[in-house]
Amino acid sequence: MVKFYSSNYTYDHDFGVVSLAVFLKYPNPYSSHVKSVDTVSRHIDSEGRLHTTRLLVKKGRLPKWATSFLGRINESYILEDSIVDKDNKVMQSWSRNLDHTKIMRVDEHVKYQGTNQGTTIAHTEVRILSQFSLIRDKIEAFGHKRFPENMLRSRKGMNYIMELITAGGFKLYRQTNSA
Amino acid sequence: MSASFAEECTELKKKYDGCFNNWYSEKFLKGLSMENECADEWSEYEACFKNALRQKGLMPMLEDAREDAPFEDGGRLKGDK
Repeated sequence: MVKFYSSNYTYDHDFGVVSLAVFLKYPNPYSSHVKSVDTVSRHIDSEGRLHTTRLLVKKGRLPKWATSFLGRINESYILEDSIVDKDNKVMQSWSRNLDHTKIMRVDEHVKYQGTNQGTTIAHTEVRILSQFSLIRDKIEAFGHKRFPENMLRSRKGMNYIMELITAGGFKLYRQTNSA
Repeated sequence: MSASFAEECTELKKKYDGCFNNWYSEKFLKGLSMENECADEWSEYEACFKNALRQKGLMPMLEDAREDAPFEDGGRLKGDK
């Protein structure tokens, strides 16, 4: 089974702040399930676009009905690729879980587009695949319920980080060095 | 800044992240530098992180993932309209 969800949201910050916030997003108070974020690779291509691959570890947050037959899943690995095209004010990210994929595989694509008005539009698409046809109704209901919740939490986290960035409260390199 | 999945790499990671964030916002976005200037921080952090991946047996999972390309058609999700 395959399910799609999508969502649009406009951030009241310019592309620079939003794209930096994507890199700085964790930790934030709305995403305590994200345990770690590591950069696997990073390069700039011949067109000046920045490519980044990151590995995120999230605490398992499966619903009770799933743990009853899947056992307890403590954590999940997420791989995220992103490309920043600063000249066109576009950032795209693609992420997916690397383990437990037979139970449920979640692919997410987000496109951030900076506007001339100094805002940034985020378009999110999520695809959920599962090979467990017996529980597809439950997975669908789970996805329906969780998608808007996750979107809301994600935006709150992004806005929290953007407030820190614009208030100058983020420790950048010089400050961390002198500390 | 977030922790590394390998505790022993977190300090190196934060040093690298700090350098990167500064370079990204102050130079890259402003078109002042098209070269990643955090090479020293990166090589220290990368060595630690890759070593931890190998020790925890996670390298194969990551390598498999690199070969698997779920996002074709210019980044749209497969099967999407």
